[in-house]
Amino acid sequence: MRLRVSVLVLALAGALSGPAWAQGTATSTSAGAADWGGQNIRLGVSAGLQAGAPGFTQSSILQIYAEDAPITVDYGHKSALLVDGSLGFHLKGRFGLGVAVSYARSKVDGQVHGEIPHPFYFNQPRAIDGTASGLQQTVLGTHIQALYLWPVNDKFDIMFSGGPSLIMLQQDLVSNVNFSETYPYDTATYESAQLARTRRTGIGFNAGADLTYHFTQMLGLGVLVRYTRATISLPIAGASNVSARAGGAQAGVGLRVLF
Amino acid sequence: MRLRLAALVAGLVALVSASTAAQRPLSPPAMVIASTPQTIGAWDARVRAMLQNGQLDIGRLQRDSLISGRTHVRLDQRYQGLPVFGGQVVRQQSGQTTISVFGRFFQNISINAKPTLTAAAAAHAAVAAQGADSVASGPPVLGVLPGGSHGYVLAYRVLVRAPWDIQIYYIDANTGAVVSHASRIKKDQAAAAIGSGTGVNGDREKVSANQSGGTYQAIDVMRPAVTFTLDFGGNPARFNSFFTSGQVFLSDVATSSSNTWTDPVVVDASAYQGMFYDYVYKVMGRSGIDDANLQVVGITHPLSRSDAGTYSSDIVGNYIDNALYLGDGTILYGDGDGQTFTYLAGALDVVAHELTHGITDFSSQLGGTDEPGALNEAFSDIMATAIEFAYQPPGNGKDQADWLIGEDVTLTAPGFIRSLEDPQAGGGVDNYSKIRDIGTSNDNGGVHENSTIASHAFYLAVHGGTNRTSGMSVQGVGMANLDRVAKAFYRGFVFMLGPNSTFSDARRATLQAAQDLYGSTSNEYAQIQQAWTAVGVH
Repeated sequence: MRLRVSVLVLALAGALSGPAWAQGTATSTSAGAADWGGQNIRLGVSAGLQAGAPGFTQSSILQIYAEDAPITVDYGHKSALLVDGSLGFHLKGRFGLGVAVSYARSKVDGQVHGEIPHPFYFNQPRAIDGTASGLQQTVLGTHIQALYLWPVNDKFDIMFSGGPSLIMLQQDLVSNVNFSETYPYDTATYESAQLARTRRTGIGFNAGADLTYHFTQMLGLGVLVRYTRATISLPIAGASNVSARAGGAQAGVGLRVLF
Repeated sequence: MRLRLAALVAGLVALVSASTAAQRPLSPPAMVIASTPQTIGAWDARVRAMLQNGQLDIGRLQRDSLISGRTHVRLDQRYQGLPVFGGQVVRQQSGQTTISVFGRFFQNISINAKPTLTAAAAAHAAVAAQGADSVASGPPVLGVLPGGSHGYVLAYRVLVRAPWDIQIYYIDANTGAVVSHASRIKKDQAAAAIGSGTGVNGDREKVSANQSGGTYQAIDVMRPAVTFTLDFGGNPARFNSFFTSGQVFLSDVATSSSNTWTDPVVVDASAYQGMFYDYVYKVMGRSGIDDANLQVVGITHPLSRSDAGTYSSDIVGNYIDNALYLGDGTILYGDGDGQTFTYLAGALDVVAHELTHGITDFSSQLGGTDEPGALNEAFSDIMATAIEFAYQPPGNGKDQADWLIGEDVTLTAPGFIRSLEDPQAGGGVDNYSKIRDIGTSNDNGGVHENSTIASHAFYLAVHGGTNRTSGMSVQGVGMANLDRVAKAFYRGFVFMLGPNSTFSDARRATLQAAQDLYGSTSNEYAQIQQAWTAVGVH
């Protein structure tokens, strides 16, 4: 999978920049560079928020009291603080190639529902419900981007971007539940969840725009909006993997440096 | 050869019957106490007077688990400070108010209360009478035994442990003669079953075990009363050693290396013992056999069925084709010989029946012979059936709830031991007018065959039906209300009956219980009343 992504990136780079790389490296004042306001490299650093991806549901089957105990956890979504860094290279005309790295981290709650078997009798499950709080969710996205610059006027331009993303999701999942019960055990009460931190990387996409106000020829203030998403399969004991959506809408403000 | 053997056995049976009958003392007239709303005041005053003059002594106080605020005080009869064996009055109280009084009080006692025999000599006499390899267990108790030519005998009660048996002897405290003796073991003659993580009849059951290192022990530690399921492995030496010493060891506990239990007998014994505890706790509000979470010990494989051919018919009948309550929370489940019965622990009603004998032991102490004995057996069948309907689906198949006793483990016709629905089908008595074998040694005075008079009344009060003898029909409260009638019977039998209670007492006690629980105008009261009338008990 990674090989396919690499090939895709190289192909994209080749298609957009192949002939112009020589020009770009030969002179920074080429006709192509002029389409990027006379600059070949654009560096951006932003901070902002990432709207949470839609929640997902974990369905696990635990073994409790010699019987299957189905557990479902509905993971919520929550906006996360976002830090984003980007680097774009001018290729030809208004086109360029870039890479951006975004990092978002948040803590969400999971609504836990379980059917806990009776210790003495088959097929007499006892329902438990509760909340697993503070489930950490970390999303690290590496976005390969084809860039297109649209100069609005002397002070403003908009950089459109899009391409594949490699998104690493690190997620706390519920691996077991703690419950309390007393004889005759006709009911059980949810107490807490045991957590397992899992991490997987998936392929998704990104599409966005960056509005930059130029203070000077080399310095500007940018406003980033981007949407990125990947579906990632997380392993967890007792479940046939948990399909989680990572990413979401991102918005940030930060400095733009042009060389 | 077979004919000669049969004749020999018949002769022995007759001889044993005759000698046993001779040992049974005739009881002197007792004052029967069964209060009615009209007489309760007078009875209460009389009981108070007896307490003051030392004729009664407070024996045990039991809280009523079914009606808050009620207590049942067992008052033991005393004569010059000595217990009068079997004399007991039970007074139900609500605060300081007396609600009911039931019991038996022996009158006109006039004997010398000074023994010439020492307790040690009495124990020696009992052991000598029982035979080799027997030992006295616990100190002999001096008291007044109703019976004998003079109406009462000053006697020692001695518990004797012997190979294959536990006997209670009454030794004349002046002459050292054996006044009477009887086995303490309460057995369900009809019950015999065999079972199979999977039980005897293929049912999947959970086994509440105790993990110790890498081994799982059949010790239920999750219920308030710890329950041990032992496996004697069919070893007669171990079994006999247990009978003489009364000791069990942790090494006797059935084990599994994986907690996937492969012995169906252990599976069923463990699971069914648990069901009994759960029902008694949840429906009756009782904490185990003694209402104080006495630990339960269930013994499986006391003797191997494969060795049945090497034992006498008595041994096979008692310890292979049988289940027994041995006292103090200990139950024994025979393997069944595979011909008449299969593993007896495989039947929920058999297990519950035996454990209910434990409740009786710790409450009414109904005797083991004649009418009290029949009531003792009836109560065990009533509870066994109620528990079966609580934990098994109704039906006629294996491990399904019905009105039969032992049907899951009986291999020969009629395929069950007793029927609460149709007692005659199982050789039982369905009406008091046909009561039989009272005062004889046959079935200890007909305790099993006559038990169905009361248990059939329970059936009629719940399910409804017609008594075959009287032709009287009872509508019944319906199966949905089974537990309500079971509560009334439990309440009556546990709290109001005593060691010498009769069927007539049981009628009054269960009606008193129904009145206490549901009121005298309730349908439960009416159906129980009609049911007792239908079976000829007034």
